[in-house]
Amino acid sequence: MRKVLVLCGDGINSERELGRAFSDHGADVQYMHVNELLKNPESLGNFQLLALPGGFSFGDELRSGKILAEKLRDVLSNSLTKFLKNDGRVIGICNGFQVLAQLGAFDWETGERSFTLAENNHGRFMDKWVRLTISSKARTLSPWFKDMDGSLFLPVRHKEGQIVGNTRNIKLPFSPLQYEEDINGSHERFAGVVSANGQVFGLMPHPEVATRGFLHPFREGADENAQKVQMIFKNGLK
Amino acid sequence: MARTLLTIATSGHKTHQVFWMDYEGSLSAKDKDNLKNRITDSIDQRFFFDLGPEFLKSMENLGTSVELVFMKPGVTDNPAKSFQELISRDESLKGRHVTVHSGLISLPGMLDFNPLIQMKDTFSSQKDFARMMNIDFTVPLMTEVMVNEYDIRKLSDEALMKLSKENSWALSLIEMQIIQSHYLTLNRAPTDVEIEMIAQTWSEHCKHKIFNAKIDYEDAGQKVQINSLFKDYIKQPTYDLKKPWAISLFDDNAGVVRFRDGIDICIKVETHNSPSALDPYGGALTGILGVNRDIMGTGLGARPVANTDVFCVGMPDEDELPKGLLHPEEILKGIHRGVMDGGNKSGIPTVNGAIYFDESYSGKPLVYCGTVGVLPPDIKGRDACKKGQRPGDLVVMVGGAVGIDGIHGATASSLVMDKTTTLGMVQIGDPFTQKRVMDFLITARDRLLYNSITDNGAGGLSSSVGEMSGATNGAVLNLDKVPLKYPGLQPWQILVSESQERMTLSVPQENWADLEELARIYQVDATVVGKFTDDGKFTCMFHDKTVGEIDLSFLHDGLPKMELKARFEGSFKTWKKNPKSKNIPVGNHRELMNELLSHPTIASKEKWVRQYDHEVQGGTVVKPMEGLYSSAPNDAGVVWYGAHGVEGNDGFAVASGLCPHFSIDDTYLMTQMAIDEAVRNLMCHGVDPDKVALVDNFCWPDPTPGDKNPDAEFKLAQLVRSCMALKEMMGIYSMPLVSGKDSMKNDYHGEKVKISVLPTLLVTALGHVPDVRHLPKSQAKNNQFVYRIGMKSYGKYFGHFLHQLTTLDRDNRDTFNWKAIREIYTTMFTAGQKQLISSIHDISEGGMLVTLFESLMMDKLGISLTIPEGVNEAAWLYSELPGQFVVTIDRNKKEAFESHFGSDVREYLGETDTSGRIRMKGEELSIQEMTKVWRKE
Repeated sequence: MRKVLVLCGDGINSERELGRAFSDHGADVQYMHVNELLKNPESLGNFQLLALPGGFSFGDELRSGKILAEKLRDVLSNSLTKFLKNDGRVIGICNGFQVLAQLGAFDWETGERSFTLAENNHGRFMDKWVRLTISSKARTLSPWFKDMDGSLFLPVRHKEGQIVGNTRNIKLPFSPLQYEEDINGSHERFAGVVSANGQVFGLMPHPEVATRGFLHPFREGADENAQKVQMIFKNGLK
Repeated sequence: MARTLLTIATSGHKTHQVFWMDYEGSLSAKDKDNLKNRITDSIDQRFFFDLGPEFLKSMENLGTSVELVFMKPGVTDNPAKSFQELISRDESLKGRHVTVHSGLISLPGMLDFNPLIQMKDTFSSQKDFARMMNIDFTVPLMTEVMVNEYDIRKLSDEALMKLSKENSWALSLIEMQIIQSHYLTLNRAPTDVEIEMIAQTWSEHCKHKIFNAKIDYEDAGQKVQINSLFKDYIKQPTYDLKKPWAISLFDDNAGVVRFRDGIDICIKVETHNSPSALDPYGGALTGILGVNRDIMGTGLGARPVANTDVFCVGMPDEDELPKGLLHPEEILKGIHRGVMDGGNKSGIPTVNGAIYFDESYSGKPLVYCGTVGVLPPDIKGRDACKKGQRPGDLVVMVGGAVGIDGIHGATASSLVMDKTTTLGMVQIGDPFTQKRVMDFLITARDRLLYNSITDNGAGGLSSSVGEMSGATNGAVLNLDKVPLKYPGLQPWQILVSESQERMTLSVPQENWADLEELARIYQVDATVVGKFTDDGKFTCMFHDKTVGEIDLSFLHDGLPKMELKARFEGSFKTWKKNPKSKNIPVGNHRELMNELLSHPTIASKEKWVRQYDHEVQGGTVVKPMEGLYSSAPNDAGVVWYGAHGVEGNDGFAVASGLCPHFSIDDTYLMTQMAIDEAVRNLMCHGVDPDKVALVDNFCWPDPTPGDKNPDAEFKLAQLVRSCMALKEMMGIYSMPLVSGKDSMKNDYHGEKVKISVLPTLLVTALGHVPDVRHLPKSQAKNNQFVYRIGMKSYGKYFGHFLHQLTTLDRDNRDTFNWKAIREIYTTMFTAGQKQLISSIHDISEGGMLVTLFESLMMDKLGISLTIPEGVNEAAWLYSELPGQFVVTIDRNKKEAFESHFGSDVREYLGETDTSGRIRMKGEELSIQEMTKVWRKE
């Protein structure tokens, strides 16, 4: 089973629930402050799964995820390249996804960013559970979605979650999850994307708080949904 | 220093961000390119340097003239702080001194603007823009640092009062006289440092003089001598209940309870009314961050895990506002955004709250911010809810530098607001910095690197160190060691500044190196600013010179009790027809429901609530809104302990009760109703009524005598009656008060009018939920039986909201059997354990029909109601009685349910169907239409 590094500090705030989503399945989870990782970037090699939780890194100033991405880029780029080459997996949720998007982690090989996460078209932060469709190709295109299809219910909690493509016609990465209804103007209702080899997975909704039925705001189908949500984390650890 | 103006434009946005960057040396073309990549998102943003052609073109594209808004020099500028951290890492600027300021450019009128903290300028030509480039951000302060002495020893009473007023000390004549005679004995003049420290410590905000005053209370000839409202009506009755789970009461920043093994929880609710009246955003933001710090400073430091917020504001259609007051809608927008940013950016879920509208809050809004925290019972064998500062420990200030912001917050909140109220109390908080502090402190706590902790709130260091030094019996502060945001602060300003995000620690000398290293990793400022001693004195030094020295005994015990009179004439106020009533006939249910559901207090709050993060930290079981696509309100927030490191399926629930409208009748009734509402809300979500702790927050109009306050004795009597009701209800419900606060000057004095708030008590209730997994929901399902649970009392209308709409007389005099209501709660709890109930919703504002609508709304269900013979129709449908619920049950549970609840407290209402209509007396009320009204669609 993969050893998990959960990043924390600098305004990240969902590290404990994300860590728990992995440790529920017996994973060895270590929490590390951004500055400790940057002090010793090689230590990334001791892990096989890097998790970037949600939060408000640097107060969401300038653009969500941008400042933390720049901070990581300086010191971590080489270690990250090596990590990905060694079949390392990455998940970024909400602000963690924004950081990965700013870093260009989904287009790491080409070095040309294909999309960004802009402010929702309604301009507001919104906490709401939404229904998502799992793309039928997801199970083959990403290890995170092995044996998964149908739909999922997850909460969104963000202000900048609108996936916006580039003007240079660079193809966007594959999206394994789409919002069933347009909630923020996102490109083709994309809720998340995976990198070309499927290893790096980023999404705006929060699966880490939906791993138990009783944490759902509705009762019918809650336990089944929670089981399905857990599969994402189980798959990630394989 | 050179300056560069950096502008960022984002596709599809009419607002540009600008940053002024001052730096040493110069920037090469490569440096600039570097910066551009560093700062801009190449996908959808453009970036301009200085006033080049691209910048000018972009301004032209915005409009013929543009408006710039930026923070006044010295006001916290969060975008600039984060920006500065980003660029200071850049190769091109590394090692250089760089300062940054930020602003926004948009079309005129597009940007929020508050003249107390911001500056605004309009630009329409290229020549104008040069002015933008050269804005001066220097904080205008005195260049000479000095300590003044105030020789008050021979001053007359008039002169003493003049001095107190001129310096915003808010000290009364008696207090000034006590200080005068103290310094006569000492045979010297007090320094400004000393007198400021006394003013902070003795402020109403810190000392709660009214709650500790001796009061002569008189009610229709009957006299009662009260020694202290706090001791007689809150503290003693709480101790008398002898709850073994109430483990820390009244001597810390928050009360601590232990509902189960392995985890303790603490709760605190604060108000931030005066600052929110002046700058709603900053006032509410610092309010929520401030109460978070209270929790971070409880015991050895708790982790905030849930926020609550309750706002009381003026009516949204208010059109007779005195000049200079902000409109209630603008206030609500600002305080909502403040609480949202504070909670969301700190990673603390907002799980419960309310917004209440009444014209009496037009002068001063009430902004209640609450936080629940968790604490391990022990850390490496040490009791985590006990503080342990020792003489010799270092005084360490953590979190941030000190500026002039927030000076005199504690004393100003003790003054009534008028046109001259000082503006130093307005400031902006920085949730990002505070989140870093929070992460740092939890780690430092778990390594036992410090002995004690408290927050820096009102009164700044003077209060935090002043309080902590009580336990060691002394402290020395080196004011020159305190890091400053900019030079030029006077020693007394450093002492009392309320700059945000700061905590004070007591650190053993041998731990300082480890603590300092940890602070470096977490990027948190930590500075040794003094030492705890045991010489009985609070001493302030500035560059090796003593600038203040006060005996702690005088500081803490030198103030004699205030003596006040309270007079109450008769117990109840009854009204004939409300002169402002809309005269709707009592039988016109369609119109009554339209009016009730569109009343801003009752109408849906979804658009506000959805903008709070409800479920960060992964433990929120019951969220403010229920259902997948709908927006049904819940009555309490429930948090699962499992999210906070312990095994089990249990959790806590938090809810609030607030019904100031009953103060119109009697504050005794208002208090009973507020407590019942808070508890009732908990009972909807599986709480064990034997494990409920209460929190009281009083917001009152000024009850102390003065020229402009002719009815002070009546208002004090209202306060006394409220406290009497608290004591009675605590006893009957067997629920202790574990924490509380009061705010006593909620009046606005304009030129022509005085606006005072209704006497308002917020009761927050915290309860234990033994199993969070199978809680009833607030929404009914189809084909279920519907009952009302509660004492039956339908002879006359009881309540408030119908009185505003109809010609009904108002007489809320009633005798409720509170003991029986408390028994219903026990029965409700056991019914929940047997899973007899499918959905439950409490009856409150608007009465049963409103509750029924809210229960049926999500699935657009319907019901046929038969109004029983012999009841008053208005009372049966609309009374806002205590202790009542609407519940629905599955059909197969009927027998078990009816044998569980006695027929005296249960009333069958009907069964749910899919008609989408409430049918009664030949009339049909459409759920869909009512939903539209309720949601204001």
